[in-house]
Amino acid sequence: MTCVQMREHKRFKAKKQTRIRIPTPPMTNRTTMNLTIALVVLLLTGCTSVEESTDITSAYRSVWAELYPDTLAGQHAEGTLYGDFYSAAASDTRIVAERRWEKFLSDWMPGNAAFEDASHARFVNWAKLEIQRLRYLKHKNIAAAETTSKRLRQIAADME
Amino acid sequence: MSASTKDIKKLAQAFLRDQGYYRGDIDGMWGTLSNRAFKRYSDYLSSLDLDIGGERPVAEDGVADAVSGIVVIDPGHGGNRKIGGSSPNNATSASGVLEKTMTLDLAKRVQKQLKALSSGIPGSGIKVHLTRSGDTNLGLSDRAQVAAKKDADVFVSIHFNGFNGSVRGTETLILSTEKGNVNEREDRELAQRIQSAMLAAIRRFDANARDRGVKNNRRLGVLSDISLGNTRGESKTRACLIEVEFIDTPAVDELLNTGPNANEVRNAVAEAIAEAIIDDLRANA
Ligand SMILES: [Zn+2]
Repeated sequence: MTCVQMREHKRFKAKKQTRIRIPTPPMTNRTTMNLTIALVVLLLTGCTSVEESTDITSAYRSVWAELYPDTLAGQHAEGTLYGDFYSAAASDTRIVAERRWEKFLSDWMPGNAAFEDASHARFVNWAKLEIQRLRYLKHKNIAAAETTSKRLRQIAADME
Repeated sequence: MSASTKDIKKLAQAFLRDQGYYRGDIDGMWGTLSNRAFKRYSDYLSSLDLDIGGERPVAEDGVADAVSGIVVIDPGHGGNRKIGGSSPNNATSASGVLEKTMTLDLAKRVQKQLKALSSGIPGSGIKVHLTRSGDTNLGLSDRAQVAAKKDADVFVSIHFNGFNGSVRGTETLILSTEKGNVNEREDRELAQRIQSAMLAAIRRFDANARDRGVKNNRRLGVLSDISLGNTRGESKTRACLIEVEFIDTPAVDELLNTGPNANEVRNAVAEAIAEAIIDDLRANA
């Protein structure tokens, strides 16, 4: 499990913690103590046995944002290739990311399979992999998500 | 008193200029322009076949071979709205210069250089057309169709790249055979000529220029052979799309837009592209 995935787990668990409701009938003191210990252990270890969340409001960070956070400052207008790409890459929850990546591909994936230039082709190909990774995360397929991340990092390395 | 090496180089530059092969300064600095001029002159000498007395592919006064052809230069993007798969603008330089402005500027410089080079070679006649001369947009196939309508020999679409604000490189793209290119070999030769020339021109000013090479796996609408009018039986127009540099990288922005030599660099790149196109016209005459 990568640091990024661990971070995502921790964010998810932190969110989940805030949603804990007191069950009925009320827990015994012993049960409460055990639950608290389990949660602390989970938070401290980033336990790999916990399944990836299917909650689309979970925290999200695109591979692009991990690699190039400086590009996300919003210098490009909405409705432009760069503006829409950077905006999708800057999404911080899965629900927003899914909506933006899908809109990006719907607006910029050429209908007749023709690109207008090199950056158009690069950004569309990158977006396809980002949304693939997002879907793997959503369906708890951590290994496939990680493989897709590696492909993106390799593309980035090839560009350097 | 014997002449210095620099004097000899100056004499050689002056000679090559008189012969119509060199247009740089007579300064004794032997760079890419001098090398290229010398190579062309050497090629010309080796092409002479005086013993056999066959046709000489040179003008009678012995200057550079006459060259003719029709060239269409396509400044990428333009205008304010997306038309036929063409966005008004894609990349933006680190200081805010739009790609569409830079493509038009470079296209006009290439046109000027082609006309100047052509007029300097007796018997030559190169016609140069731009797909747009102002801030307007055309669809991708409409751009290629300008080449078809003008019966162009060469079609070059000009673009500038962008990515993450730090990468560098020059690349030239052609359509692959699998994507319907009927004259990939000829397109590749044109692309390689322009790629090498652009890179050499940029390297004269910046050692960090990077060769990303000629790539043929892009599905580029502007290079569609159907729109260009090329068929398997008749494939006259050789075409490529150039990505001059990554303008969102500050060093490139300085090189091409904001630095003290920006105008000179843009002229050098334009001249290099023009010379490469002329070489291609000659090779395919
Ligand atoms: Zn472009």
